[in-house]
Amino acid sequence: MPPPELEEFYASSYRRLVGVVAAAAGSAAEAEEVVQEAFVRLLPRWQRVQGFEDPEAWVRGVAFRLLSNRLRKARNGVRALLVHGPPALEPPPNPDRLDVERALADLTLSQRQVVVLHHLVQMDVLEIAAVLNLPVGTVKSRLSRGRVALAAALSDPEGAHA
Amino acid sequence: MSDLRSVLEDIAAQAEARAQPPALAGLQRRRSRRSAVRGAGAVLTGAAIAVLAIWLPSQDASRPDVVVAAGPPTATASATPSVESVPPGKVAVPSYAQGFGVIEFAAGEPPLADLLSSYPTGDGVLVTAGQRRGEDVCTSVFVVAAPAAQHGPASCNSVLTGGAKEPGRLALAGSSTGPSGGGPATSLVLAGSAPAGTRTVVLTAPGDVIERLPVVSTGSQYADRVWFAVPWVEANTVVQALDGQGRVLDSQEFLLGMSTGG
Repeated sequence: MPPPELEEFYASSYRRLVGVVAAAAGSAAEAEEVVQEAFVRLLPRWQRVQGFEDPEAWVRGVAFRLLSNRLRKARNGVRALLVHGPPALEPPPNPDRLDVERALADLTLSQRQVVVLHHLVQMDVLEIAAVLNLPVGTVKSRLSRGRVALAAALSDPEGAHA
Repeated sequence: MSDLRSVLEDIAAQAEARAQPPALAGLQRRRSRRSAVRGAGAVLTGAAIAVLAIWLPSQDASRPDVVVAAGPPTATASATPSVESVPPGKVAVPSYAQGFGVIEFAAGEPPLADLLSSYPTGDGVLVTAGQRRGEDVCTSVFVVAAPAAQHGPASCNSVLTGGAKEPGRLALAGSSTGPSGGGPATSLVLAGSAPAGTRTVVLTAPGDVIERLPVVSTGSQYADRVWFAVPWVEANTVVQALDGQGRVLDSQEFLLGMSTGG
């Protein structure tokens, strides 16, 4: 059985982690998958990670890296989508935020990751670079391109999505 | 970018509200199962490929006798089904880590299907179950994803009944007696293989059509078979295969496999 402290940590952080990852993944289901996998990887390391200043940041980092890795396995998903059509629809978004969501969806996953970590989790570039195992310059570049793409899409939503 | 932050917060809050954390102990089982099979997996896989390389070409390649639905240990409703092709005469080690798949076997000994019913994959272990022609699933395919000491061949976490017992219809009556714990299995991964000519697979609860599924005509290693895969099926669902004229096909030609996940 998992130790009570881990159970408590899991219960208190799971939903919050899914929320953050979902913003980057664009899919709550995808977010749940990677967050669960991140917790699976936490289990054997709990003794060490629980001593960290912010164990949740460790799990979040693992989840974000797993999200990146899943890109490599997207081939099966694309094939299945072509064969079976899209998965069950999630509730329709609020129309007020539709443009922003569309603009976000047009970003690459790597851009969305840094945008979410910066704007939602409020991490700075150095922290993001550490979490994603990326050079600082790469993070800056992705963040910059993501912002430019978002700004362009939001200034001309019709043109961007016609 | 303040709007951006509020939208991100909104997206996160919605996902957070809908998130359903599984029991942590379940995640721990996933890890234990993976560790066990990683150790045995290389040996099993090597042996399986070696056996099949000799065995498969000698079999009647016109139709399979066992169909296995393969899914990750923790099947979720949102997981996307996928169908992988296995070339004739060869069995590659398929990677179903992110989805579900169908594996077909020609007539053969149960131990072979047993041997192949679990593969190591990139991310985890497949928990599989299937049905031999005219037999219940537990007689031929076992859950071997868990350590043998805990869940040996006698342990089967999926039971598929029907087939010859009810011509033209296969009733899924799932029960969970193995690693998933006791009680009825209400959510199953279903995959199947149907004869050429099948145009639609219909799932019904008593009296009601739940879903009409397209079939995949290119996945099967057998030229006269078509495939279909369903990520989430309720127990006690009735499955029928219809041809282009809406006629119900003989269930003897209609194979199903399913997995309840770990």
